[in-house]
Amino acid sequence: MPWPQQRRLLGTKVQRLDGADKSTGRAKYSYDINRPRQCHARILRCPHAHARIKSIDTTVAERTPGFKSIHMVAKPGDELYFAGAELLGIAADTEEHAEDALRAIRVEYEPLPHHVKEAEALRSKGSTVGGGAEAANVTPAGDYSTDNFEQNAYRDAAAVHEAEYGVAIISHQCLETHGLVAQWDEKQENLTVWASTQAVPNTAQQLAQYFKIPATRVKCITHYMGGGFGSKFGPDIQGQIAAELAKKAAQPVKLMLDRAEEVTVGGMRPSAYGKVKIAANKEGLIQAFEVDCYGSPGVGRGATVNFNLLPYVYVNVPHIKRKHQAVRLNLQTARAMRAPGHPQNCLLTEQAIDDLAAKLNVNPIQMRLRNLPPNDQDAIKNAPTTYLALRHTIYTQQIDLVRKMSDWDRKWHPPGQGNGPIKTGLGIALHTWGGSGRGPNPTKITIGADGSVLCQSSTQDLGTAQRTVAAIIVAEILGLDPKDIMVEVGESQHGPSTPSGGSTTCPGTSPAILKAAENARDAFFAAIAPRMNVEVADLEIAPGHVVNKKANQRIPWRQACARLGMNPVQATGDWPTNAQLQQNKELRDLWTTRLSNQGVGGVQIAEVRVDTETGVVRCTNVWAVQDVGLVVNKLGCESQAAGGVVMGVNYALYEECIYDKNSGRLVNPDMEFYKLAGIRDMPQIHVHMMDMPERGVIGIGEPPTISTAAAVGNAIFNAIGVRVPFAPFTPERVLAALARPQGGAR
Amino acid sequence: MKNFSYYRPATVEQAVSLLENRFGNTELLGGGTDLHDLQKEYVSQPARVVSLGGIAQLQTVQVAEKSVTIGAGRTLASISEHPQLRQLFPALATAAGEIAGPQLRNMATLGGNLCQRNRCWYFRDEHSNCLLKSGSTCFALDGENKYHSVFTQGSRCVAVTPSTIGPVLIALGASVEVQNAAGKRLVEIGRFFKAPNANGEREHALASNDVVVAVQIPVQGLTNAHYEVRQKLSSDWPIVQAAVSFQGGRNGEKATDVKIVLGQVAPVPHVAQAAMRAIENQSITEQTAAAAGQAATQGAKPLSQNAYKLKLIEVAVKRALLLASGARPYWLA
Amino acid sequence: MSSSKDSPKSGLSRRDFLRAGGAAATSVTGLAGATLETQAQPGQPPASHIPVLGPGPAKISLNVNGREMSTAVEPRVTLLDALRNYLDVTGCKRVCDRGTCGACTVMLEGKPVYSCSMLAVEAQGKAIRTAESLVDGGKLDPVPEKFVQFDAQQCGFCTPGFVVAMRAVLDRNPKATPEDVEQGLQGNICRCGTYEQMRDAIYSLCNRPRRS
Repeated sequence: MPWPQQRRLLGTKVQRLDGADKSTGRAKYSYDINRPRQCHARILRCPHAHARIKSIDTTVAERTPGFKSIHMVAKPGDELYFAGAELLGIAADTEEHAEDALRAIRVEYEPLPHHVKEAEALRSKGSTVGGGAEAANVTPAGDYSTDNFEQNAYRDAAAVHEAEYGVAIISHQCLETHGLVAQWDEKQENLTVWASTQAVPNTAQQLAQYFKIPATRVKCITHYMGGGFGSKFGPDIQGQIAAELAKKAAQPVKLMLDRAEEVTVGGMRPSAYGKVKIAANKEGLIQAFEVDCYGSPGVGRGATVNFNLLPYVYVNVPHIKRKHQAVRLNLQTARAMRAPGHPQNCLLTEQAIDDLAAKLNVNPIQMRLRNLPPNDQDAIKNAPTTYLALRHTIYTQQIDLVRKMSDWDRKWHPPGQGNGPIKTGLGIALHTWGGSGRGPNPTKITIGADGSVLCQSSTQDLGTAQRTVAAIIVAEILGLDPKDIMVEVGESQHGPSTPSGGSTTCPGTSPAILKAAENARDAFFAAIAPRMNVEVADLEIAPGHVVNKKANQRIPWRQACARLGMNPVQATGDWPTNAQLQQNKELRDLWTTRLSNQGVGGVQIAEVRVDTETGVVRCTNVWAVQDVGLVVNKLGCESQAAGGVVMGVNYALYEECIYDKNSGRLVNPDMEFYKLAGIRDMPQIHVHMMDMPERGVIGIGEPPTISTAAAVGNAIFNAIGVRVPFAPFTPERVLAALARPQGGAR
Repeated sequence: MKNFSYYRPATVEQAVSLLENRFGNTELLGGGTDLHDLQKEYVSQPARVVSLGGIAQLQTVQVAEKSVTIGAGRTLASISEHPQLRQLFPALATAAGEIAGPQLRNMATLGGNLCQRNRCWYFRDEHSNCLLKSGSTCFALDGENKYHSVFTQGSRCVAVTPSTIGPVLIALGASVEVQNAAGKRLVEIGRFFKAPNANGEREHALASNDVVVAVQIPVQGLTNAHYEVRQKLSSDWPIVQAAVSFQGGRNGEKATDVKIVLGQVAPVPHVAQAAMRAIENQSITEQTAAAAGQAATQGAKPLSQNAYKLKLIEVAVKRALLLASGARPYWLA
Repeated sequence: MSSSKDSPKSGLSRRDFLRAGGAAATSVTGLAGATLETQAQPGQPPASHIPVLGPGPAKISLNVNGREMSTAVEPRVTLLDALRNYLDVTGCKRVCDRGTCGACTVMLEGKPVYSCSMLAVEAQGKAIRTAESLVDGGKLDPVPEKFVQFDAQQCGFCTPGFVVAMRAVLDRNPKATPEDVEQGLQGNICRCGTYEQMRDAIYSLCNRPRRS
């Protein structure tokens, strides 16, 4: 069952099936669900960055008009570690009454010391984040060095560059906030939730575990969801609260976070700041990369960069030394956000490389070509379609393409060159990502006697046009139009499916859908062959037809289906089990290197226009080349890539969670001073997808957002000749860089 | 939002009759784009909201030979698109047309723009009990203040005046028609704005039972322009704004009666006297405009994070002067 | 949640009127939430017939996509919340709820406004148009049609707001240039980043070629 050699639909541009419903507001998101007798719930949150609860008085609240139920998640004596931590939920007949009830609650706190600024926490020795002995704010999160680094690293250096780079904490800012509608049946035994989630079956399972009821008693529905970006993998505490409130009220409850809550507790991408020292020999080959970095995962733990991928992409640097510290702060725990760790790694690496290239007087493209990692010899032998085996080839081709697309050779100038106050510049950066899928993703296909085709699975459509992906594959195999396929996703009762994280959905589902479609076709042939007095082998699919090769007869699809009589045909398809994949190399190669694959490279060039009088940067163009393996839907693929670029430009220029050191509160939990670009602020985006069908399907939801910010940073450096060290590259930071005494080209 | 009673008077007299002698319990509702934000944050919790939306009198625009009168209920969109206003007062039309996005401009009113509360993120955070509430501290002083004042003018609150129409109207020498139970009066726009420094104080000098009825702008043939430095082209607040007006000043002619007013740099619109002196009676060139820009920062005392605004003041003044003079905007090259 | 077609077109009825003014005025609101209010404002000129609603729920009628819909809301309920929570018209989305992002955009008398920043009671008697009006049976309005054609939407949560804002620009000026349309979208934010595809849609709607 490899992918068809002749592709009629795969790789073409197919409009998303649910596009009309979305754009006319008819698509119902979780936020839009209104159940009969539905109540509304709100959560009471701690306004302090660190505090102990002294008392909670809910008596007045429970007498307010419309009050329905209350559920406590914290109690007096508890310590809360960030502003926004949950105390309780309350439900009332209307949203307005829920708000009234919430505000009738009186809580006394004992405020405790906090840190919300990385630099301050680094200087302190104590702990403000709780958790006993290992509770220091500053915790080691990685320490590595190649052998004899000190002796060897800088021995052949023709140029050494040392500087600091960094990027602030940002928020996912999902437009549909986290939340759900929860409804119990009359017997209070079966729970249905309409949740905004990237993991439909997991959300149901987690709620079942929480309530200690069989998983079969919880159903999660997510027909449409308004953005997750890595922040929505379960019911979260608000899901538990909503279900508790619904149970207590014996009425459905809707609990969606408001915007301030979304920014404060709905997820954040951790910061990363680091001193980088980088050296190259006279041939421009990077000899040493040294980084001492830190970042904040919030009140949680863990690294904020991808520690083992520093330096990023250029992994063949001979001498590497890296150190990372997690600076725990009194703010929400970091959540995965579109290629966790990679954009930070890319900023720390690619900007240093450009600064080094400037010192060496080498064109940034030459610098990168010289230092690309080679194709891995073992991989060429054992897994020739993988990133490891192909990376040098892929990047070389991509650089060549993006260089031509952007007219780099004509436009590029040495850093800081150009007359007048308005400067333009070009910058380049590279990225990589996994994007491999796995099962289980069982998919069920039903072919009806009326010619209808239904494709069902529990996977979710985050905006990636997953319904359309499924329809394209099924239609390709059955010779139909994607519009002919009815696709149902986002309901947990359709079985297990993998969460949509790590760009895994398309590569995780597509092979299973292919298998299901082939099985359905075969079952269909098996059912109709006897009624046509032919062998199964005599039948094949042609567009819109079933062909009886024996009689050289083309039967229109519906007529062929009519021969099914009373019984529709059903078939499922899914991945082999992990054990089967491990034991059977042939199977493994088929599913993980031909039907799907992992590992992509991408190259982006950004063009900026810097007003050196105001420090305002406009990104005018981005050229993005991305390899993607087998393209399922070219329209959706390009859309994903361009969207990644937009998010990257936002990361580079606008976004930042700004915390007040004294109160520990976020001062911009909004969309006003938490800046997000509108259409006029965004560059023209030129996407080129490298279709490599022999590699199988690879997910690319994340990779195209990784290198954009570094490319923008490098373009600014190219424009003004000085490095703006910390993103976002806001007017005050650009002006500060321009005003540095050592200003001017380095 | 705390619930309230909603009143919809049909005349200014009726509206005035509903007002009280202190701010807070009763609030006037213009376009709603500021008031409802404040209510949703519980920074404003009126028990009574008096809508001005039903008062036809507030919707008029009268263009006479010597002055133009614009009703306080006119939306920013209708001002920015008004052909005569665009011709006479490009600074006003541009400033109104650059505010936020079309949806907001279709709602927000002229009166509301002048009376809106400041955007300080501490003031608007219910849990920050700053000195404009019942507290005694301005949290921006030792906090996040990159968007705050660089001319504090002795004010304890360092939030900036949010109105971008205010500086323009000062440059144009406008007056505000105000009505209360005693009748109508004209308030010179230069005396309209006032830095709030305590609970119950507003960003303007009017009393709680005053209603802004209209704005009068004299027609004096002033050359005028407005320039704002903002990070985003889509809906965004300016970081610094300059409004300028003068007689002459085009085609190498000398500029006289120059007024230069800055927005977003002080608790009230800041009249840049030194800059005005620097350019008075000069023809406007990049050099003279730049010199005026430098003079405009005189007396500034930036806070910990906003010294960059000084550079932006220089640039905004220079560019506003050049725009008014008819010079080609070199920064759009 | 309720709706009917027979409710009065303009919002405030005689019954809602408050008689205020003079030395003292006593009034009763007309409908649910009846409150008794006494004002003593000596020296004020008489102000008669000042309508008042609330603070309890008041019956309102909204003209949504050509249909009269009625419900009862407290005065504090925004137009957005009335549409979504009381009338089940959910095409307009609540995202920032502070007049910044544009997801709640509706047309009011043909002009795009933020329904999150307007009271439902203030929208009475005015024609309200949401994205749901841009499809008639199976026939799509050209704006959403181009959004679909060029895939100018991903998660789609911002899309109805963009579509309404764009429809408003083109209704006002059918000869709008792509630049005019982009200006008209200044008050909308997309998080998935569909601006590039939106530009394709805009150029197509303006009958301009895009890219050679």
